[in-house]
Amino acid sequence: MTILLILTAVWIIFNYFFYKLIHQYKIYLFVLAGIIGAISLTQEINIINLGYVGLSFFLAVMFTGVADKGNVKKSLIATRAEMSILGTIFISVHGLKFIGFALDYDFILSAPLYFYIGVISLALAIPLFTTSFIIIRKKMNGKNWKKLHKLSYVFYLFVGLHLILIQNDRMYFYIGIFGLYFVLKIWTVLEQKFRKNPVKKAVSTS
Amino acid sequence: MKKEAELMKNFILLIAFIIALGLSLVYEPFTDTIDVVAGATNTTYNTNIDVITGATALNGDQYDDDDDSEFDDD
Repeated sequence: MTILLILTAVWIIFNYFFYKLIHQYKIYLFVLAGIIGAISLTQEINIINLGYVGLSFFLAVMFTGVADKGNVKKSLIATRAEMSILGTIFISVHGLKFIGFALDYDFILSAPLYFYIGVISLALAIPLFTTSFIIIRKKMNGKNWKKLHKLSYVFYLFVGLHLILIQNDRMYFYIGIFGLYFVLKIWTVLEQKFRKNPVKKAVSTS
Repeated sequence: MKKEAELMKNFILLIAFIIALGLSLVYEPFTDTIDVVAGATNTTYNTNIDVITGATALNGDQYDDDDDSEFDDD
């Protein structure tokens, strides 16, 4: 958990100062992330194939959606797609590593429930990942793209369930994180609805 | 006052982050965090793979070696 929170804070701070550079040199970052991911796939245990790095990117992206307006949010929105792509690259490494373990140790059909939920969330990340690239996004209808990216909430739900069902010592932290996100998301939705349809003040004529 | 209300969620997020970080530093030894960044395994961070593969249990192994083995030589 310490790693997760520290990494999330590092990405947010780094992004705040260098979001223009991140946006400008995103292709190089994706290639670099791919290389690092491929290397860590061959390693025994590290923070990438345990899923911490990927999740830290997603936490930054997730909470951008529920934060209030400000310079930090502005910088995060500017690189939201890049952060999601980097997160998916690193989370794929985690997924592939554990699918590899399942095949190696022959428990692919008898794995715990959280394993399959993790696999489903990885599958959900694929269309979100591919359509996050600007080349593909441009080819899509804007409304369809928005509809498709509503899937990211299902993805967050599955990631949350995956983490909670592992039932390790960090379970309560994950419940706290995803619970807070859920509450703040409802708050944000209600806020947006209220802004769109403000309650008209009753004018007393008496 | 209105501006403060508009930043309420950011304030909650900041407080939640500080509390979560504080608690995680209390419950997870920082040395274990440094270890796992360096690639060393430890009980705080290396639970998943071990549990799946049946190598160790979450909070220690019930088959841990103990000192009073019945096959000890006298």
